[in-house]
Amino acid sequence: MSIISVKNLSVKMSNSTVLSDVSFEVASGEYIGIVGPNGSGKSTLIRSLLRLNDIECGRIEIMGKPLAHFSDWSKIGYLPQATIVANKSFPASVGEVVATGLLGCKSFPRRFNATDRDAVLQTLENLGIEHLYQEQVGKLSGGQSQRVFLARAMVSNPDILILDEPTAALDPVTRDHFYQTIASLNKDQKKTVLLITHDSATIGRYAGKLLYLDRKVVFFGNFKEFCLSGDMSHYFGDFAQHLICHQH
Amino acid sequence: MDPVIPQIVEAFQFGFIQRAVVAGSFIGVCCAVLGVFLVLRRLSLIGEGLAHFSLAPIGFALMLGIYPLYVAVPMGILASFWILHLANRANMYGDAAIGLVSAIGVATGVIMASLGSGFNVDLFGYLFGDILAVSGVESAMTVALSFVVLLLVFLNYQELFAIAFDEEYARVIGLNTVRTNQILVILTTFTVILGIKVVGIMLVSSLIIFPAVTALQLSRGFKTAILFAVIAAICSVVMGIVLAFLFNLPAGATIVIVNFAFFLISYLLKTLTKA
Repeated sequence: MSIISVKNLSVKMSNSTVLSDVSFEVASGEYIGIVGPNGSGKSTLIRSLLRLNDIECGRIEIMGKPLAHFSDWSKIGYLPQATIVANKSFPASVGEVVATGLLGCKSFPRRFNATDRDAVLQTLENLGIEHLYQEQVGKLSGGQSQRVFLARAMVSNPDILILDEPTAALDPVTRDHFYQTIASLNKDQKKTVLLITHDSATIGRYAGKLLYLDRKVVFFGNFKEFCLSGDMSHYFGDFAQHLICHQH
Repeated sequence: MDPVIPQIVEAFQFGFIQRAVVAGSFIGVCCAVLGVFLVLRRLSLIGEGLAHFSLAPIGFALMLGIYPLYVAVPMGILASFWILHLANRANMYGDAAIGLVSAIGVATGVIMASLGSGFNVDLFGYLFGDILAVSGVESAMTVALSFVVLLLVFLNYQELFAIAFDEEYARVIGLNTVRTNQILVILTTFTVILGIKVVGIMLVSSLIIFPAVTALQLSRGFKTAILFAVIAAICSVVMGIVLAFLFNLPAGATIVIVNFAFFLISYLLKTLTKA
């Protein structure tokens, strides 16, 4: 059974079509790389899954439930595109920020207990950043900040991880380390991963499938199929496709 | 010149000083706590907007001979929802929405003042505050409402924190951000309108902004920021009232100047620590 199902999804913004008739299914434990050029609707697709924008038509189901009736949001870990804290002097420690990832599992009045604190520390430890627990979040480097926000997404032990261009602001070494961390979460903990990136070549090394968007689904399949696809040769041109696949 | 300490001790013997200190401190604490959330969300001017808007209901109530806060509180809540609606649904920037609602309030209040010239003196008291004239009933009401405000902040603390840090993420994890924002503006409305008695319509937003920005200079954690803001608020209210009594100054304005002094000290401390 698919853990995410999108059927005939269309999204309009300011009267222009951002996504048109998008359909795909994600099975539990799959790692999907969502790729495409700027303005291709990658982030809009993710935001539609997370109810952050309205959809014009179509049907989204998560864990077998229509989006409108899905309520178990603690099962989804979300890493937004902007993980650099805009207000550098925001008075919040890493521990406080990561703990907010647990709020979705709690009922009013939401209070944290010792178990929650242990969960936060354990998640930080799993990502190798437990020493940052009391640091002010605005003072962290880009790579540290990225891991802290990944910890926030992971702390509720979600089944699905949705990551929106997580490596955009990272240097190549940190980026590779980040991809390896996600691959290990997918392989060892069976997390379903949806990861947006511009970098088709790199994500091709890690993701089980690529979903290539350009306002509609251009390609959905594994990297080998992507490299052999006549449609993609036509879309990119033979030379560009060779460059992408050669890095593989 | 008489020694200062005996004068301060003498000041605290007066019932009106005691009432002013109690009411002012409780309002100051509410303003400080809410102020940390509002300043970090760049909503601190909502206090200014709601205070200015309240000129209309206060003017209206004075014209009809009704106790002003009975009209100002519900009208202020409606105004705060109007600001939220304009900002969220009418494609209007938040500061423009605040400016619009505040201007309507001030304009209506001024028209009422010109129509009913007999209550201009009362209106002046609301414009610049008159904390030393707080009655026992007003003081008790302020304390009771402050407890309600602080209890609701305590119960919603985690939601308020999560939204202040990252509202979009708060929505993703299933928090009801609309309801929490409504709670924040309702609590702000109550606090601002009660604060009008302390420092007046013109200066009430300073009670929200100053303790928060003072605390934010020195704090690295959120709870510490709230604690520092509360300490700054109580100290500024008490010192402001005492200084006003000793030097025969307007209490509201003196509280604001003391707040500014605290901010300067915290800013200098931060700068020196960095250096």
